Amino acid sequence: MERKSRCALAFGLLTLLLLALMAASLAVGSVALAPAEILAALRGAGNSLAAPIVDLRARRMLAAALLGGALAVSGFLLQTFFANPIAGPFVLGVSSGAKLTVALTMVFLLSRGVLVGSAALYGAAFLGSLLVMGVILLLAGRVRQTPLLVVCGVMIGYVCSAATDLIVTFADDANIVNLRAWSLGSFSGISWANLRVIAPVVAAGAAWSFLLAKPMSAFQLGEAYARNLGVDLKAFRWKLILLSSVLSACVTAFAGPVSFVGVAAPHLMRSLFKTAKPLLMVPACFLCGAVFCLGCDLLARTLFAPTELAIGSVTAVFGAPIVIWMLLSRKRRGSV
Amino acid sequence: MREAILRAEGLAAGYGGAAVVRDISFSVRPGEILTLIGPNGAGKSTVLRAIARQLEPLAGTVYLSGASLEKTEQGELAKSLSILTTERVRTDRLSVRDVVSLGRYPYTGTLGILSERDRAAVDAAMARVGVSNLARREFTALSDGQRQRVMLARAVCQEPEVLVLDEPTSYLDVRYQMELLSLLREMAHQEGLAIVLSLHELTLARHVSDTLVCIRDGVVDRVGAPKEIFIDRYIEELYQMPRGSYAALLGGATESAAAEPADSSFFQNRACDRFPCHAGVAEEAFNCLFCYCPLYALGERCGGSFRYTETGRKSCVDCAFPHVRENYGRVLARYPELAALARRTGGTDGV
Repeated sequence: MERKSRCALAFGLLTLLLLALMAASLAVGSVALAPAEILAALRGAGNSLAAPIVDLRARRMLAAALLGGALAVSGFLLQTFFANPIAGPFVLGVSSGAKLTVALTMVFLLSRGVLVGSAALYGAAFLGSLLVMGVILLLAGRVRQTPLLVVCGVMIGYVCSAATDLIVTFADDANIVNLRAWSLGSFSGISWANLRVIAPVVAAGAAWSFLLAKPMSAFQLGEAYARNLGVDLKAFRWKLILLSSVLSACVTAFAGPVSFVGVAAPHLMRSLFKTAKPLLMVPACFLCGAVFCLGCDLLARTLFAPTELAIGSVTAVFGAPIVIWMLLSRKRRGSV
Repeated sequence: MREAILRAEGLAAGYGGAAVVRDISFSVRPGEILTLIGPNGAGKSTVLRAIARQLEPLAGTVYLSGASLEKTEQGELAKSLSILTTERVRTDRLSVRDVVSLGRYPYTGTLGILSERDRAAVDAAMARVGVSNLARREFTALSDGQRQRVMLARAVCQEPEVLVLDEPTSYLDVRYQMELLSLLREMAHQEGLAIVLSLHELTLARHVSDTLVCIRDGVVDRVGAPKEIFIDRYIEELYQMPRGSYAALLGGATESAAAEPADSSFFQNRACDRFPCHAGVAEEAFNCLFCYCPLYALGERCGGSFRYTETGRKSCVDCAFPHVRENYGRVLARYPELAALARRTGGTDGV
């Protein structure tokens, strides 16, 4: 198929899916709402019963779409950085690092009776992400092979998760409920105040990533070629690391750990578009991450309603097989 | 004589503050091919990395068009110098066209979108190196030799004034080695590109280079034209080989400077007067890289008509082996057999 028509078709498909899932997220739930009711509620009219439900679902839908997109783009940035398709914020332990600092902040502040604001939560997650990223980069200086580095990342992730569990275990009873729900991961309970932080951060992060598409494409050829083509490698590396941390920290701060989206979405998109060109991949990954998370969130809250599944479990169920498929197909194509 | 476009002066470079090469000085003019030769580990790649600004020099300066490389803006440098390294590209899902297109990087805007002119340059570069038929193939699915040629197309697409190539013939079979070197000569001698490369194959180095720079233990041991380097026992000394081994291996390829200089008939050469058998071949059909006739070595038994020159060399009048592209496969297949036969019959002249 001609590349142009393939791309147009793929983008069209993704947009349709996104719109359909957004609509479904608003309509489907323990209380069934008619389209007319939803539209009325969105306009601020309609009956008093529908309005709060629609408000709740709209927040959740926006969070899932934005954060899912952020995760996928963050994953793509890390994969470009490490020249390895298995890299992602969850795999490298970056999400777990953010989780640890967020848990620490929550427990520390809540025990002093301070309610944690969105910005503080985000700041903590960002710091945690950067810390783990720093450790990974230090290791990268010593460990040349990326597969080894990924194993190190997984180990760091375990250490951070264990530390988080410890904190949760010894936290005051009152905090535990909050922390438990958060540390399992969920798009529920996201407030408009949270969204006011999420939306600009994700929008800016994704837009900046898109603007880095050109140097990223040069970087895909390797360091020497990128430098020869005029990429300022040091600055570029910093930008990649900062951006991927900015994006993945946003997810961890507000939705907790969401696994596999960062690895699965870019792979799906590379297969769908049959290219790794960053100019296409950044927007495609964003759309795919949004679709993926919206779908998973819909399943998480409807499959066993009224019991809600942790979003991380659902994304893992769908994401992990994709990652395995990716590894197998890469092996078949003869490049690992 | 034209001004040097690239000049290294007292260059020292290395890794982690320790110099691998030092006191490196040479210059290359537009239209000149300069080849670094020397044993493994002598520092050829380090020199190339330093002159391409992949490695900050520890001492000395590299000048590009008279300006110090350190003071040249990166974007400007990208327009005047492009490289071919031995580094492997690890990214999946890039088409050959995508890879070659990246050569336009210094010329495109913020998002790197190609203009009409860029697209034309990409097509031209691919056609030039002969990879147009691979355009839609996936880069990582190509053979090593094909990848090497695609990377050369990428470097050409950058439209540089200086081309820096690290071991460009590695992974290439004999046919592509010759095609590549023939292309380099064409780009240098006809379009005025300055080319700096490193080579392991001495026979190729000797035939393609205008200047050879011999690197030994991190310093320049000797600089000169091939005929000044391939003399007496110098090559054996450079590579620290036992006396006579190089000559024995290559059947007397090391000759003294006084002897007839190595001729360019090894490569495509329309003006070749030693093998006038090409006279009857149409211009477009004549694209032969085997200008050294595979039958030439057979002496009297080649089947064509010829006469002997005053120096006793065979000068063909009519070749029995049509020099057209379709014959390459047959030439390659028969070459070992013919060469062996020639050695047995003693007709090694010219091979």
